[in-house]
Amino acid sequence: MGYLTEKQIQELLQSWLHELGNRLHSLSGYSQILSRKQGDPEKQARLIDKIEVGVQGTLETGEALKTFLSVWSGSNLRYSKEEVELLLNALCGKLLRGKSLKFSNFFDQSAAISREQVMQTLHKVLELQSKEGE
Amino acid sequence: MSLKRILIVDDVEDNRVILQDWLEEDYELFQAATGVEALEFLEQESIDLVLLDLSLPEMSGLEVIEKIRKSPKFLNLPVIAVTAYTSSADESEALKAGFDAFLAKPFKVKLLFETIEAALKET
Repeated sequence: MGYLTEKQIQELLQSWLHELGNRLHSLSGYSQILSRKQGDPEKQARLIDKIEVGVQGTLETGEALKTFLSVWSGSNLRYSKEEVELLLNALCGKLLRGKSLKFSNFFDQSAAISREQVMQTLHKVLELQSKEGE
Repeated sequence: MSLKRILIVDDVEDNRVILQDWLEEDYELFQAATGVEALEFLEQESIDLVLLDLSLPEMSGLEVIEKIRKSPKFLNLPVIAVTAYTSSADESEALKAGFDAFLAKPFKVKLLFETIEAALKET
């Protein structure tokens, strides 16, 4: 399994910033629609739901980027592209969505994190997810 | 007077829903989720303007505009680039590739109307 180069890291981060931009656009877009639908309570409620989902998604994406950067800059560990994508997905809540679990439940993020710990954590999350699907 | 026909090309459903809601009273709208779908649609239907996301799966917006501009019948078709998280280099690359205008998300509905109307006026 090849490790990520600096260029690939930059590309990965850029694609996540792009994701953040899209989420912000949804928030802004639905908010602008909401401001024009004052006379329709049902439509307003649906738009407010979408805005709430957008806020949650934006926060998750921002949090994922922040945590990833702190993990990345705090160590000289090297991750493969597949591992980084798995990590970002887990941090972003894609693997944890619908559960009352957070990535920080699995280990102390302020402590030094080994690559093995991160991967073990992700495997735990995946195990939980597959058990839930049974 | 018949409404101008606009094709919205974006793989993110929320983005298509938002543009549809913003524009549906003033234009006749069509949607495509990929570049391939968009190119097929353009071959079959007459369209006055395209709103094209740059970040599309399989075929990027830059590849789509390249194909559009290669066809003599679409040489003057207004195409506006729509994208999230961009630098001035991205904008310059898009305009060089053949886009008529560039919108960076998030943007306001007023700016969208102004950009569309300016692009339509030039044709």
